[in-house]
Amino acid sequence: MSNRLAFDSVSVTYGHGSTAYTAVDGVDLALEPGEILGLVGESGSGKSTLARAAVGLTEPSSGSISLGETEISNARGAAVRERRRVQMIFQDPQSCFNPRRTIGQSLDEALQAAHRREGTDLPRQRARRDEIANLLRAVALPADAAERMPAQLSGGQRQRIAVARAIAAKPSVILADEITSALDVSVQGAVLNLLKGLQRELGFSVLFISHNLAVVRIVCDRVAVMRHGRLVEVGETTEVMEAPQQDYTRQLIAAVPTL
Amino acid sequence: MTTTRRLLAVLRTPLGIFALVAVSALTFLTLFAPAIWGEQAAVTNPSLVSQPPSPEHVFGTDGSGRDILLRTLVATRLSVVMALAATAIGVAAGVLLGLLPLVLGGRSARLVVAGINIGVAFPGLLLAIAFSVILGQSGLAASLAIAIAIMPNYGRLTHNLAASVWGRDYVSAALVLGIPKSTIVFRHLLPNVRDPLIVNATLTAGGTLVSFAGLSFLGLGIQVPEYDWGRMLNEGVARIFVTPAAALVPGIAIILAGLTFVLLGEVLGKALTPSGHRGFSARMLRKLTPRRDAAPIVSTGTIAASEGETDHVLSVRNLRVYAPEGEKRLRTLVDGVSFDIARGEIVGVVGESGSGKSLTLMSVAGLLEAPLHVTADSAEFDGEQLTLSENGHPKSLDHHFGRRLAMVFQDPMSSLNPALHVGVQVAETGLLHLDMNREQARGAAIDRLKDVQIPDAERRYKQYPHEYSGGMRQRAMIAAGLMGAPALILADEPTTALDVTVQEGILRLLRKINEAEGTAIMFVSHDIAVVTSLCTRVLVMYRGRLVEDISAENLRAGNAAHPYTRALMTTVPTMRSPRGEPMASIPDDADFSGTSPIEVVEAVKPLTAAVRLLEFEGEAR
Repeated sequence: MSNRLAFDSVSVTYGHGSTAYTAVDGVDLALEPGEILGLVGESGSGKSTLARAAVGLTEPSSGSISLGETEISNARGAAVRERRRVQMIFQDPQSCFNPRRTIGQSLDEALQAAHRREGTDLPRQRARRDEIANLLRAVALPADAAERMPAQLSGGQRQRIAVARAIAAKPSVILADEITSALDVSVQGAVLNLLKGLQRELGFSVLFISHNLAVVRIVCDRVAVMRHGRLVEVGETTEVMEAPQQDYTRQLIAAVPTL
Repeated sequence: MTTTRRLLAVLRTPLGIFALVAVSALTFLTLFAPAIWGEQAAVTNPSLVSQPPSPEHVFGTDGSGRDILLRTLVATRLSVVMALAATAIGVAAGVLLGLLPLVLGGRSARLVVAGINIGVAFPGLLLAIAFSVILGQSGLAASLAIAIAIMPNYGRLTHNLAASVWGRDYVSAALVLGIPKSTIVFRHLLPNVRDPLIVNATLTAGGTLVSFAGLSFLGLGIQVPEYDWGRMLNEGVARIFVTPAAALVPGIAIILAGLTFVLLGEVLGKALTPSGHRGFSARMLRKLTPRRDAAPIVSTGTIAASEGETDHVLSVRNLRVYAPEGEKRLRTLVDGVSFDIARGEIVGVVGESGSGKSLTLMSVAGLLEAPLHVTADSAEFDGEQLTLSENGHPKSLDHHFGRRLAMVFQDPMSSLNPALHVGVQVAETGLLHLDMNREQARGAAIDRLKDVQIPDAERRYKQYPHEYSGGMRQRAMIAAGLMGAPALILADEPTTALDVTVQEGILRLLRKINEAEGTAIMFVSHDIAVVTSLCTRVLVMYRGRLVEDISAENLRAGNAAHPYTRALMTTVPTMRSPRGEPMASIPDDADFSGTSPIEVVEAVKPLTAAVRLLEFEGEAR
């Protein structure tokens, strides 16, 4: 069991016939264990679709996605269980938690899912409550945040809890889809520091999807650039940022506003 | 406000009291009328057939000498219970049907949706009659028939509601966690689509009551010796010229009971949906005390105090925006903001979400409506004093739009009419405000589209907004603003929805307009990097107040005076920020309202000790 997430000439097409639209077009990309790989590109470049295909929210029309030795695209049975080791954090802090459930209930759901996946016995409620308190502490929130409803927390706090929910599922890979795009810049750092710190501590790998190159440059080990569904360039962050090989990458970097 | 508290509030209104009384009466009759008057109502009296109203029989007697009023009261139970049963069965079956497509997915989902759509296309009552004939003449059969008739509507409603919830991130997160779809439906879906279904079902129950009475009236529902209102109507209508009450009284009962359900639906609707506050009158406003929950912020920026000295295009003093909070209080959203914009100046307004920056801009444009209230000591645009009406709403700047004032919003897709050609919408300004004729307006619009660098402007003139890219739509909006000779462009997050490369083009365009035409720009954005790269001067807002008024040059050089501005600047990641170090951020509990800066800018680092406590079996470790 290895944790390499590999996209093998993955294409995703929506619709049929003349209205068909290829969102992802033959992408070959691998996320190595323990690394943070940035995925940048403009809206409609297919970066979110690629991530959604990896967790089964959409099916690739051709190609395959594998985690270690297991193919997790078009998965059935044991492969579906294996796919749960890939977790996703979403963009919108408004809709990432059920507004009618407490934070504790939402985290508990993720804990239970992890136990079900691994076939271990579900710990008693008390033990789970301790685990939830630990999760909240891990994202620098007090344990009593478990009693709160999502609406009682700020956007930044909710995104930190979204990180905690992903961690609760004991993932090998986390797909972070524009997780700070809807947040104020003043709280963005807290979310990203946490994600990075937890990644270093727990060793999962992260596919960090963002349109913000300045953030990607700080957070990621490697960067992949997408445009119109295709992969344009992949490389070490410093290389891509300082010596981009493709015109499009150069254009993207030049467009970043400077203070 | 919680649902319970809203319900109590609604019950104190005339509507609520009326509904409460009506529902109580209906419930009482349904539960107890047969027990109290059942025997009396069944007594036939051959000597008192078809009597007119009398002290013993308030509405007279029917064709068998039975008391009409008592029979109507006793019939409440059967009429209401059957209607409720039909509604319950129909709604429950409809909800299940509507959820089915989401659980099934794929081709079978499309089949179910098609089936629902066909069902909705049939008239409900016709369907009920048809099924009633098929299922036989009995109360239960009529109930089932009506249930089948309302099922498709609830299927459609549930499907529409559920499909929107199904697209939410929390459902996606649950799917990714591997939560079974059936659990997701009960845990995440139903609780979030429940409220509109309850309100609709209550209203439907009123309709069902009428439908059921209709079936009984036709002889399809309740059969003798049992009777409901419809059955009574059936028996009474034949003798309507002898004893009109025999038909009229059950008829009125049907109307009253139907209205009761509608009232109940209204009350539930008001209790379940958080409503917008009503606006306050000017008199009430004076009585209300604005809430202050923060210490006063001492503005450190220098605001040009000497009026009239410089040529200002916009000059605002002590602008305040209030929103009602609860019944008796006001919340201050913008708290005493004063600023000037000189001719040809580009001024940026930055701040976090909720800092009041957009409200400031919108109140200058006169675009804020009740329940928000705007007041200002003075506001002057282009040499004209903007009068603020007594209850705080500035007089609309309508007559300036198109000529001297232009506005650009965040989402160009929603500010353009999708059904009209883009060019026509740009030309409209010329027709409306500049006394151009059609040809002149068209020519001017094409010129403006060329000015904002829309390629092939003649052809693009006749295209719809969806045929434009996001950046081109924003350019077209700017073109519409440029039809006149604006002295000021108000821009509210105009590049936030755009990609960086497109954003760069829009910023370049705005700069070009400013240089060529000397148009002043007030540019609101949450993105400090964008603001400092475009603007000459920056206003920083924090919790409704203006805390800093500084030149962009000084801001870039790190000369901000207010601790909040300094903290904000350090949190902006740039292409020169150090890699591999924690990013700066402002903690949740930081408060810059006080005058003494507290130590606020610190990196929130994960508490690694707590992480170790987590039971975790990561492979790569």
